[in-house]
Amino acid sequence: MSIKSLILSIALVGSLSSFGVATSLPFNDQVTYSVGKRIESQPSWLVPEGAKFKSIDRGYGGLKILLSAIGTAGCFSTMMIARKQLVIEPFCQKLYEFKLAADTAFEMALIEMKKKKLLEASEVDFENQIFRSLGYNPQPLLTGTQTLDSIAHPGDKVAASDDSHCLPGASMPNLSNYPGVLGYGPQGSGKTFFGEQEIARRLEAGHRVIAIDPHAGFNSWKGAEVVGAGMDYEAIDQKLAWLATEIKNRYKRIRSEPNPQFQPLTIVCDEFTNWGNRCKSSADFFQAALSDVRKAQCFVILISHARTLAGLGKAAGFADSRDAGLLEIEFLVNLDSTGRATPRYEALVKLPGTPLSDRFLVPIAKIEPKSTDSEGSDKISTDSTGNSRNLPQSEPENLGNPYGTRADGLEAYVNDALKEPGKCPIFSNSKLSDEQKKEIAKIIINRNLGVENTILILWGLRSGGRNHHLYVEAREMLDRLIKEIQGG
Amino acid sequence: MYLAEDVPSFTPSFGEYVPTEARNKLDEMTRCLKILGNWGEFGGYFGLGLSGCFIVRAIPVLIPGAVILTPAIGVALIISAFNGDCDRPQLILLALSTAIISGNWDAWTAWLFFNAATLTTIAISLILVGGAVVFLIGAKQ
Repeated sequence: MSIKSLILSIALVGSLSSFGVATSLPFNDQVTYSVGKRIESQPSWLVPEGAKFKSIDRGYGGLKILLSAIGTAGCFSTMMIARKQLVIEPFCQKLYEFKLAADTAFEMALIEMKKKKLLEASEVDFENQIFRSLGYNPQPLLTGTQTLDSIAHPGDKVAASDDSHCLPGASMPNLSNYPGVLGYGPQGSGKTFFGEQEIARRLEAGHRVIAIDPHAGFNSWKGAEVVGAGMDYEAIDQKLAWLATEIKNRYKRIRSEPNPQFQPLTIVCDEFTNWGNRCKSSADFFQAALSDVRKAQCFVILISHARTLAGLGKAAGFADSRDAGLLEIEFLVNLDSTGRATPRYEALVKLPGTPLSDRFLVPIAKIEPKSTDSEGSDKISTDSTGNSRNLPQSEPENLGNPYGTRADGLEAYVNDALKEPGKCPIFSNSKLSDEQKKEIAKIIINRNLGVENTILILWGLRSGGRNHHLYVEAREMLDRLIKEIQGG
Repeated sequence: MYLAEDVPSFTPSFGEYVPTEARNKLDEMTRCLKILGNWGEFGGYFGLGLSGCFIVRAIPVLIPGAVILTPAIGVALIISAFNGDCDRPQLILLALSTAIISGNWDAWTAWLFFNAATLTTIAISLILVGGAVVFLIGAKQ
């Protein structure tokens, strides 16, 4: 029973009760009188004439009329309300029914959606199991590390390693041609040394170099103005603000002067991952580095652990700008048996505006640990003159490219080929052009490794055995090559 | 009177459970409201009759006539009410007759006791006369 029915029932019962009280009480006054010696009591309207009045008991006529009127009103009200409710109740019931159905539909939709998600998850898991059984390694799901930012800015998400290709003879581009350079990689991959070498060349080219490094050690970043050493993030923040002002002033001069000359300014931000989040100006600086610095002769080198924007000063939302404006260098590492990262002497280079899949592999000079500190040092070995043995000097007209020219890339290729002679013969490599093969062959011949070793490296053949006739032919070709070298 | 079938349906169908539950609830509610409405209507007419009786009782001149006549009217109405279908006019008659009787019972009984001697004499006389007539007719036959 609903609350409305209960109220109506109470009203009806009260009305009927008032009727009961009204009917049970005497209406008229009860008069006691005497006629002669006889005493009687009758309602007033039955008292005979000549009777001698004795006493009177008042009746309840007024109260009975009042209760009767109240009961009548109550009953009619109950009747009208009940009848009206009877009319609208089906509509109320339909509303209730509709709400019940809507709730049921919502619950059903939720259950259906959950079921669909479970099925999808199960399907993906099943596919991954198939892939693994076939020897493929499916790309891991990012569900465990997904954030709201990664959904709002899909370009910021972590990209798995792709099939970057190796271009024979490719070398590191001239970094001075790019206003923004991002070098990243795990610890021990040679990032910091890369930055030091780069600023050394820029100082020679007349750049003013500012190194922002809260972990800068004594005598590090030689020749550069070091900011933030000793974890002085306030100083870093002030310097970033100063940089913004400097860029603004330079652009004012560009606008007001016909051909303004600026001293090139290079800013190196080391370990940007560590302090980028602690400086409120880092995101603005990062944005400026991607867009506002080129015309103002400002150059930015960011060194970080990752290319994700979460690791770049929370500069979320600038993924497209990063992809279009930064030259990215990913330093690769090898893990030894203890899990320690060691440089792999290779880097993946992504030119601005190109997709990650178009990165190309470039060899880099070997970096050997310092003799005084073997723990994770990125220092390069030097000869007696102080020049790097493994890192060739750049050509004077190619300042800023510490890794030399295309020939250096071939040298690195040869070094790799010498590690396992005969495993990948040069003249059997279909990826190399004839010209590249000849150049590599010349390099190997010039190293005087011996005839057998040279033939093994170039053709993959050994003397004797059933392939001896092929070895003889290779020997003749080698002789012709030697003659060409001597003749050229 | 509106019925559930008269209401335009805009509720999607989700099996039989929901409509059955809703319909049962609607039937229960409708039945309760109908009972309340009918008793309210009866009580309204009853209250009208009762109030009329009391108002008449409040006028001394009308008391004797009302006391004597109204019970007779009430009895007649009750008899007529139960002799036909219980539609609305009969419901009204039944309510009014019940109201007249219940509103004047005290006056009626008081009148009966006040005139008890006369009424008893008349009754005895009628019984004796009637008995004699019946006896004589029986003896003749």
